[in-house]
Amino acid sequence: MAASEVKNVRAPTAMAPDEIGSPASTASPSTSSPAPAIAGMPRRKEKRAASGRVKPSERAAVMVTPERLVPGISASAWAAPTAIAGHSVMSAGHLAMRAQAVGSQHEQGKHDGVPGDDVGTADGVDEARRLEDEPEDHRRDGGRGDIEHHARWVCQPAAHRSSPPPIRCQHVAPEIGDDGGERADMRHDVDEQALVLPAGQHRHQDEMARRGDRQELGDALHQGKHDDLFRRHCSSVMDGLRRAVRGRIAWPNRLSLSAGRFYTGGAACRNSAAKPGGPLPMAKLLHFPVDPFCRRIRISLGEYRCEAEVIEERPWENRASFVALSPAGILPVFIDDDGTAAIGIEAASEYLDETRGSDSKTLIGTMPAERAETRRLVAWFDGKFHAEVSGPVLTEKVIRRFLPRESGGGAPTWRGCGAAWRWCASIWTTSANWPRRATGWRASA
Amino acid sequence: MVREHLDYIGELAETRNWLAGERLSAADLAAAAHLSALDYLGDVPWQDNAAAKAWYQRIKCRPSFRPLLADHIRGMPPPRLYADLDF
Repeated sequence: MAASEVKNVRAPTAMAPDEIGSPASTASPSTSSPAPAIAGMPRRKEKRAASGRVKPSERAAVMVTPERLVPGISASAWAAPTAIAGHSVMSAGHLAMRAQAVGSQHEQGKHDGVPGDDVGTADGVDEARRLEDEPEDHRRDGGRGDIEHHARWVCQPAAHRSSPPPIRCQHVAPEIGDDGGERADMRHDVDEQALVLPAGQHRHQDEMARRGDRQELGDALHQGKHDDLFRRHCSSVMDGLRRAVRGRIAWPNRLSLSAGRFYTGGAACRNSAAKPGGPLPMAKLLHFPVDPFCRRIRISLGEYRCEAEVIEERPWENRASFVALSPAGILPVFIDDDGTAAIGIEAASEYLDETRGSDSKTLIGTMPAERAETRRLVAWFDGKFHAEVSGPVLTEKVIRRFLPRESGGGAPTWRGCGAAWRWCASIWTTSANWPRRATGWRASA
Repeated sequence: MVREHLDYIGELAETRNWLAGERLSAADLAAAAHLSALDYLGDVPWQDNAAAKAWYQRIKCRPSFRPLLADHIRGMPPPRLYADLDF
């Protein structure tokens, strides 16, 4: 009996308890004999599995993901026009496609006898056409219009929702959070979103991909409407240089951002649209916001009461029209209303003083000793201070963020910044005034 | 490194009305331009030098400086005190 029990236990079957034949086991098989289902299982592995389980942490989980994924939870960040600017860009093209899709769907619905939302479809088509015809700047207000587009989509019948409205603006997030923390995963979000979107939904998707996903952060400048301006200034002299520029960059017109978009203050420098081929309405200044040399010219414009349209330019993007105008790729570039271009900080500052200044309103001074002292200190800050402090810091913390990865771009770090610095240096140190910038301080120090 | 430059600015501002003399000059603009670019990143220890801070406050209050205080780079919001005249 004992041997048969052992045999039965070692070979468990569904009928095992009945075959034992013991009155006690038939009365209560669950207590008198081991359960066949688990018989023969090595029990020590249970302990091993238990020890391998994740143990509860003493600390509660910290919710960090929402703050990282939604830029601008705090009010101060939403004050910036960052998130919504991209939304209106995308909504126009998407709306056109959705209107087509809904329209075809609606036509099919009519043939099938399914009642459709005539008003909503017509609104969608009209809205899409209106957005297509609207000027760029009006579509890019990033305000109520975008919200209404979204609300209109939400209010539509579910059958007409071909695809959700574009919310790329939430994915075009800064890599650096408001608290200074790095958003390491944000770049991947951008990529994933780009993959999810239908191929033909956004006409400029290929352009975006070609320029690299880092451009999503800053939206590379497309100043196609200013190309004509540049050509007018340097048509004859720069033809050879323009041919020498490597590669030809296609700038999608539909994406053209309004020039000086980052510039939001100062009535003295307000923009008036420059019509290609028309008369130049006012002087222009090509600048980058945190470039110290461009900042000095901008302050000088205010001191001289000189109105100028400020246009953001990023020299490291090597736009053909910019390189044709400023072969050394340096900023600032001041273009007077008569077409004269003063390129570089020295040329621009002296030009402003000579054309806008007077004895009572000068920034360089009237007496030779005064001018010498002014120029000594200007060289101190533009040379020594820039070489020791502001140049490396701005390159590391700002410029690298805009550079493509293969050129050394990325999050700020003092280690491995050599590539970015060399890359920037190859662009910026070719300027004619760089040797003076780099070594001029030694004469005055 | 920036502290040494701040000390020099403070020394100049204490002995003169503006950095290069009695009148506002391009030297003030150059110094303010470089320091404001660093200030956008919050990297200027203004508390270390009261004279330099007072000089920067004077030039920051000028109307010509106002457009710079409205700057905003996408993804890099300026610190809270960047546009504050009483920083």
